[in-house]
Formats: sequence, C-alpha cells, structure tokens
Amino acid sequence: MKPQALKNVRILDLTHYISGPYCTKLLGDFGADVIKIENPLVGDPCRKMPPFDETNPNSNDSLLFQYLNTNKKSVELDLKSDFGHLAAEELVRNSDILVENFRPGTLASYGLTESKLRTLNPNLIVVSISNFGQTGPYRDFEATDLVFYALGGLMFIFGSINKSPLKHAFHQAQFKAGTNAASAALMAFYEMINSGTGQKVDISIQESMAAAVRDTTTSYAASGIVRTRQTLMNGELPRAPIQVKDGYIVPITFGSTDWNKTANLLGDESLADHKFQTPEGRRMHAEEFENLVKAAFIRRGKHELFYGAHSHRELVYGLVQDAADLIENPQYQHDQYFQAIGNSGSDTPKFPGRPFKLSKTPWNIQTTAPALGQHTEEILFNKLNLPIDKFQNTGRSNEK
Amino acid sequence: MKNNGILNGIRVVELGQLIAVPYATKLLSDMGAEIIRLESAQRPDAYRLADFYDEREDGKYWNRAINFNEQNRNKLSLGLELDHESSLEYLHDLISISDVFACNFTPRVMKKFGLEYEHLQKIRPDIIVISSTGYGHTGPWSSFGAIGFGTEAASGLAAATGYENGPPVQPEIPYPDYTAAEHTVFAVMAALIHRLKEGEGQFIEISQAECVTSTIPETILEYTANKKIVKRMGNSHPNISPHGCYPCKGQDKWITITANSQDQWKSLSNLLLPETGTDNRFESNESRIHNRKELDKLISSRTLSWDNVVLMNTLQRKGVAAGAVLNGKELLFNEHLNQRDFFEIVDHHPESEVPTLPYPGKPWKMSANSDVKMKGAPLFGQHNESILKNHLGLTNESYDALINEEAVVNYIKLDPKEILVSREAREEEGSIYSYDPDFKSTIKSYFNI
Repeated sequence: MKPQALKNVRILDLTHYISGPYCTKLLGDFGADVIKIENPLVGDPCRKMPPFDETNPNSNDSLLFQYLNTNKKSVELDLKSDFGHLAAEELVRNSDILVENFRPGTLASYGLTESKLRTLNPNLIVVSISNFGQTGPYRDFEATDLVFYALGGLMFIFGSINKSPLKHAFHQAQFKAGTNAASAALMAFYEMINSGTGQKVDISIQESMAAAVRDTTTSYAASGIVRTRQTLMNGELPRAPIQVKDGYIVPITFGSTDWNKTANLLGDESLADHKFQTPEGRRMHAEEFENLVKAAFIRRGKHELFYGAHSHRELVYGLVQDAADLIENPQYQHDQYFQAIGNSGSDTPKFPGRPFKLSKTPWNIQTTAPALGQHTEEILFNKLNLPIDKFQNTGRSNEK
Repeated sequence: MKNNGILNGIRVVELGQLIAVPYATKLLSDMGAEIIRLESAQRPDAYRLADFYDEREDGKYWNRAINFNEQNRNKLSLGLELDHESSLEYLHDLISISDVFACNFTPRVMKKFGLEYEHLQKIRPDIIVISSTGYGHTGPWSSFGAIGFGTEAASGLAAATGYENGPPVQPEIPYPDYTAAEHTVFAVMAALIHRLKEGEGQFIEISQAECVTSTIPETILEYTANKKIVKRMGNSHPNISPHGCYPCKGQDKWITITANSQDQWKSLSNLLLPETGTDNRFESNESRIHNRKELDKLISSRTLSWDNVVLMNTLQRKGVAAGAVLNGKELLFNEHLNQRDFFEIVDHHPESEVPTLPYPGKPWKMSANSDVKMKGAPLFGQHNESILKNHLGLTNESYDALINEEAVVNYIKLDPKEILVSREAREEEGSIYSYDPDFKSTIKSYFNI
C-alpha cells in the first residue's frame, strides 16, 4: 500500500456536528491519526442527524455521521470531570493538532486555556471553528447554515429577483469552514515543522462564506454598484437551469458565440432567423425569443443536449443531475467515486468517496466510523496508561 | 509587524483563469507563496476583460478589472504566448525552478504544451502538479469544458436547491470553483508536507464537480440507502420550523430566522407572535413543521414592520438564531467583520490607476507568521523582465527578441466597447440593486485609506 501524506500526524478531535468533523475527516482520510472525544452516553449529536438507513432496522447510526467520521477512534470522556481533565492533559501532550468547535470560551471553561495548552505542549496547534470567530460583537450569536448564507453575503445574490433570497440545500457553510480549517491546520503544521512554533487558528464560518463570494463587496468598493439576484432572460439564454423534456439543463456559452451553433443544437429553424443573430436583435425581440427558446428546450432530452453541446468547445452546457443520475454517471463511475464506506458491512449504501486524487499519497478509508466509546479503553488505558480506577469513579462504568 | 508568511519560499506557476485555480493560489499567496501567473494576450483571462474600476474603459483597462484584481492579489504576472515554440521552453525552465505547477486547462491542452505530470517530473523530480478541471483529468467527461454554473448542475447540489415546486436555482457566482479551490489548498498542503518529509512530489487531480459532491452526502445517502430523491424546498428545513427568510422594512430587505429549540421558539413567538401562545398549530416543532406555510406567512406579516438589523440584534439577544440578509455594501461595512479586521486593505500599482481598496480577507486567522503585507494584483505582464532576466537568466538580446516576436507581451489588443455591458443596461435589466456615485469617498473615509 502507498504511504499517506499525513501519516503519524496526531489529531485530538474535540468537534461535533459538521464543520469540525469534516475538517478532521479530511485529515484522517489522508492518513492522520484522529482521536475523537465524545460526551459520555450522548456522543456527537450528529449521530442523531438524518439521513438514516431506513431499510436496515439494526442500523441506528446516522449515515451523515458515518460519512463524517471515517478513520477516527472514539473515546468517551466527560471533559468536566476530574478524570476528564487528567485524560485531556495527557491527550494534549500526545497530539500535534487540536481541533475544536465548541462555543467560544467553552474550551477554557474545561480548564484548557491557551496558556495551559501551551504549557502542556509548546508545539501544539489549536484550531477553533465557530459561528463568527473567537472575537467581535457577534461572537456569541446563534446561527444555522441559513444564517451564514444571510450574513456571509451569498444569499442576497441567490434566487429570483421577484422572490426571497435563497440558500443552497444542506450544510454548505459548515462544509466550507471545515475544509478551510483543515487547510489552515496543515499550514500551521507546515510552519511547526519548519520553525518548531505552534499556534492558534481561528475559523469563523461567516468569514469562510464572505471570503468566497465573488464581486460582492468589491463591486461596491470599486464601482459603487450593489449587485442583486437573477433577472429575466431579456434576449439571452439564461445561465440558469432551464426545463427540458426529462429534466433541466444549464445552457452556458463561453468565449466567442456563434448563434447558429445554438440554433442548430436546439434544432429549431425559427431560432436561426436572422433577427436573432445578434445580441441586439435578440433583445429587440426578447419576448418572442424567450418563448421560442423555452419551447425548443422542452422538446429535447437532457443527455442529447448536453453531449451535443459539448461537441462544440464554446458550448459548455451543464447537466442538472440528482443523486440517481450521479450514481449512473459515467465520469463518476470511471473515477470509482461512490464507495461503501459506512459501517453496514455490505456494499450499500454508497457514500461520496475521495474528494480529489493524490497520486503518491492517496485517500484511504482504513476504518469506518466508530461506535461511541469504541476506543476508550485502547486509547486511555492501553496507550496512555491512565489510572483505570479513577475513570471508574466517574460513574460512567455503572452505566455500562 | 508584518512577516514573510508560512509559505514564504514556495514558488507556484499558475496557468489558470477565473476562480477555481486563482482563488486557491490567492490563498497560498496570502500566506507568503510566490505565485507566477502566466497570461496570454491572445486568450486573456475573461476577468481581465469585464467590470473595470469606476467603469472606466479607456487606456489599459485590463489592469483595472475588478474580478481579476479580487482573485489575484500578491501574484506576479508573466505575459507569455505559449503558441511560440521558445515560450514553452521558458515555461519549462520556469517550472524547473518551481515547487508547484497549477493548471486548469483540459488534459488535451496540457498535453499539447508538454505539461503532463510525467513530463514535468523529468524537468523537476519533486514537482507538485495540480490539474483542476470541471469533471476530471481522465475519463469520459474529461475533455468537457466547464464553468461553475455547469459543475454545480452536475454535482447534485443544484437539483436539491430552489424554491418549492420550482426549477433548480444557482447563485450568481461560480460557486463550485470556490469549493474546488478550498479542497485544492488542502491537497497542496498535504502534498507539501509529504514532500518536506519524503522529498517526493506528486500529481493532484481535482474534479470541481466531485469536490462539491463530497460536501452533499445527505442527498447521495438518501438515495443510495432509501431510494429517495431530495425535493427542493426553498429555505425550509425538513426537520426544523420556523426556518426561513422573511421580508423586512425597506427595499429588498430580509431576515433569516430559525428556531432550533422550544426555548428559541418561545423567545421568537413572545416577540413577534404573542397571540400564538395557546395556538396548538404551533405548539411543538412537529406541529410547526406540519403548519409551516401558515406559520411562515404569519411571521412575514410581523417582520415587515422591522428593520432587519434591529430585529436580528433583538432576536440574538434572546438567543434566537437570526441573520440579516446583507447586500454587498452592507457586508463590506458589517460591524462584526470590521472589528475582526476581516477585509484586507490592498494597494495597487500606480500605473493601474486603481486606488487602495478593501477586499475580502482570508478564511482563517492564524497567530504565527501569517500577517503578510498585501500587494495588489499585477499589471498585465508586469514581471516579464524580472522573471525572464532574473529567474531564468535571459540576456537583454534574447529578451528583446521575445518582445519583438510578441512571444512576451504586456498589453491586450481588444476594444473593451465590444465586451462591456454599461451600467445603464445593467440597471435596465434589473441586475443592479443600487448605485452610489459617492462610493469613492465613502470607502476612503470608512477604511481610513
């Protein structure tokens, strides 16, 4: 087997839900050793988040949790207990990177203040992911993915001009912050290898959104223009999904545009009329144009249009695919993208696999998501030699 | 005090355009890496050709292009036409003294220019090569060109996004480019760490669509486990109510509100809907999900009389998750982001005739060796001479010959009038929310620049 890029990098994972676990999943899937600390009995609340495998009555673990927690070892630990403090200190001494996504201030309330961490392990990298960062007036604000879309600037330019602003489905803001946190963790680790200096990293989910919203603040700063949401077609093909016979297609042209190529692709002679040959002509006859275009698209199938468009270099049409399409998609199949990496022990369900390919140090799933506390004994008592009698006094053992 | 940055000493040659590669290398350049951006006058980055500072289209307009300048701060520009045979030699020479080569051309073009990993590895054994394409470097879709609106459609994200009973909807930015770029930065850092330890480079393949699919396990798993296709439901959430975007006082003003717990619901309803205290339609999250439409309507009728920022602050004080929908100007002046010094204040080259401006900052704050002095995006071809003479040791004669052949260039021969859409036209089509003629002085005084 090929080596992995992050082999022997030790991660102390104090995260839950999505942003933090996606960060540590990326690190773990590329070879880091991840020890995930979970609250006794309850565990990461993501264990209760949908979707679940409804066809398997024996499986009560969230599939989202199984996706986000590959290559991790689960240790049950109450960070508020005396034993928890003791164990946390030992874990900190034996880690390179600590990742946490508690509310700001929580880690310190467990006794793990910045100076304490620095004393325990001078080289430690501490990555904190939070809604709005560790400082500033919104520090303690509540948020959901929807709120990040609003306060991150993407929502105002998302949706139809006649309707309310919109967000993407699912948990994009949290995945984005998790990815950035993983990159920043590695930058800090790179610095640590070079200079021997550890450091702290502050990730604000709002800032992850605001950093990645093109020409929004800059549009105002450089031209005084505040952009808004999607407008009507007005004589152009929409750069947006348009309905076809069996789904949706995004009719994008890029670079020089020869209108006849589009008219030919759509197979509609009336669209080849000379009055539609120029942008001005199409705008002048915008309503007629729009009706003809919509009628032409609805007559054609999505695959026929998509593959037809891509025989021209400048027609870079998009094919709207749902999950069923993706499983059948020849490119994703070529890449062996979907993989059974859950803990069902069978070849379903299929999960998203490697997000990208590293030729020499590949992505690899060595272990599926752990059961709650599966590795408590292995890590705390066998590896770190912590006193087992103190653990038993925490009351946890009575519950077992 | 400013410092050199964590990635100081790392040299990246970039053959990319738009966002997927340039945003990734921007994040690397923010941390001190030297990015040499290859540019062509024959096939310029589309962002060089649209949306100019102060809408001025005279002179060297391409140095004032807003989108280009936003994505390319701190970089060096080498105007090199790869169609010239000698140019390819210089590009290969440049790669031989670089650490990373990042490219978002299709594999066909990479091959044509001798830029495949197998070849570059011979020039520089520990080189890290990035191929970032819409769908993949090999395979049946690898020759398909793509921009974000296409990869978002393909990724599975668009199909699940949109108003209830409406078509799929995508935002007005090439969204997947950012997701791909963020994953690219992670991949490069993993490769750099491996190289530091083992002295070995490698080939990184980014499929922009697949990066996005990696961030939407929910829709994949609902299908592969339960054969369910996720339905589009606007801003609603299948398991939480209320969870929506509601209109506020003023032109196109909105607030997002979610009540994640019964306590949050009580605080929210006490403020906005006091009469619902005994209404059994809304008593539990389950009943609120069942009566979601009525509830959203009712909330909308109350939020309309509120200023969205005042309402956000009021709700947040009561522990309710709420956020005003900020437009570009409001985001730029957001008190929280500015107290955290989120925006980077960037000087431009005097010849660009662009003043010092605030740009979106880094998505992380790091305490050590990360406060790098920001420079503006380069003029087109600004570093031709320094790169070719100092990095590659060209003589004056051979440099002048390249200029004469137009193999090395620093200007674009294109009339911007053919490509520009005027503000008036944009206002007419409704794609502008507002225009502030005093934006220059507003920016100067707010950011004290």
